[in-house]
Amino acid sequence: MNKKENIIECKDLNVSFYIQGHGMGSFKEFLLSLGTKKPFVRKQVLFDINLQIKRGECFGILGRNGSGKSTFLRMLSGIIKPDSGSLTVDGSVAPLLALGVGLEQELSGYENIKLCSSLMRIPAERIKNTIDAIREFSELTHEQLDMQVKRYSSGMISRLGFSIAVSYDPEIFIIDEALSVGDLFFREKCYKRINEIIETGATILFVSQDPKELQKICKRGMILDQGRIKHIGDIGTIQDYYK
Amino acid sequence: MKFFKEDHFIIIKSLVTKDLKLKYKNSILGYFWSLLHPVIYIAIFYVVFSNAFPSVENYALYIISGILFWTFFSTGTSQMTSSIVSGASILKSIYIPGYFFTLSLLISALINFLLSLIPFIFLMFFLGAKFQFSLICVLPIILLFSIFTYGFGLMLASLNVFYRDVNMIWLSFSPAIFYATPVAYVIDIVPEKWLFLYKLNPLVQFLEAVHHVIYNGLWLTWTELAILSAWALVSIFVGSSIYKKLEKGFVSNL
Repeated sequence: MNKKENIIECKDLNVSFYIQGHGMGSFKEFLLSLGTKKPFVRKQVLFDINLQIKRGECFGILGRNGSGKSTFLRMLSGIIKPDSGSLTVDGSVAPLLALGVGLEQELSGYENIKLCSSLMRIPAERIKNTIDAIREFSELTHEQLDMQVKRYSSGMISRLGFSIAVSYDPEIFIIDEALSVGDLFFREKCYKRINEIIETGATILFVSQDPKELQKICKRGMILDQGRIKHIGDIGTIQDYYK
Repeated sequence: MKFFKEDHFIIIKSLVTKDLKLKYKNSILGYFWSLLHPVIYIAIFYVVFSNAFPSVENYALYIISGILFWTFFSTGTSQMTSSIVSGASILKSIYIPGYFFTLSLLISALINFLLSLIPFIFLMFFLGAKFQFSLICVLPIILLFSIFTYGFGLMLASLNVFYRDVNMIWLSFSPAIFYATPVAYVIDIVPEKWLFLYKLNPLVQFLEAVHHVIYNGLWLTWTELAILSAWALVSIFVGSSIYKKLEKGFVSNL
């Protein structure tokens, strides 16, 4: 296989949200806005993103709430399409399931492993072979995994979510502030696993609001500020720009 | 064909499994609800209306065939309406086309419908339906009716992302449509001058075809088949056009 050196390439990317323009506060507001307002209002979220990420790199993304971090990640996973510019992603992207958002409350842990894995397009055979590894990594017992997820503590949920996401050796792995949950021991284990993933040659995108956390594993990073790249560079110097 | 990609199959299969599992989770009677629901309706209508339509021979058989198809349509569409909205957390974290959620709900509703059909088939024969080859016409009706239901459901689901009123509107309208469709009564009672308007309701065509095949034991005519196919195509065309038009706004509005 002939793979490019850059696993992710963004050129002049602009990304927008489409929000309904009709007044939704009241019926009167809705009627008055009909005809006068467009059905969709475009709200630009990311502006002129130019970025190359090399294969095997561990790249940090720093930014405040609402700076466009999640939108950027969603664009990389193909969930949101850019309006203009070009985006090349040359590898499989692990989903942002790490926080356990994709888990179905009414189903058991085992059923959720199967469901989430299938949503990640993993064939049944491979899920079956990986289930033990997921259980071991999550440190949940057989009995707990037989229980409905709605009876889990929030720590257990994030452990299960993270374990599913890291178990299929993705080429691009996204960590979206996921490590702020779970207990101390599990967090250490996650860092260990992330380092293992890095050693397999995978690319990591690590999102955080805390520059110190980024320094633990990333070498290079960028700061997003109100939808624009404020700075790209060495993770050591990035701290000075993040104020 | 793009649709039959293996990974699409994996996703839809697991979503269907999830829907079927969730539907009767935490309920004692489970699957039997899909039998009990039509049974309750059939009993009510039989008790209330069998004297109202003395001219209808074997009213029980008439109403069973109608109610089963109606239940599939009404529960199917009402579940599909919120399909994309309730898939929000997944849609925001992993790339899966929104219509997968609608399609998988249709498939699980269809499986439920077919399973509930089995005991009713015995009941229908017991009530005097004749076993004959023309009954095979039920299959194309079910296929076209499913396509019709899916197109309609996809339209509702897409609109519901932007205006949650759609769900409420449909909840109040679908019982009204029930009375505008020959499920519990025969089409003869509709005044002639309104018949033209009445027949514009596509469900009238589908339910008439159902009665034609199951109740009257007749073959489906080519004209009927053409009308049903046309409605199925119109529905899927309108549904997918609206879906495509609105798709790009889904994630920002969920």
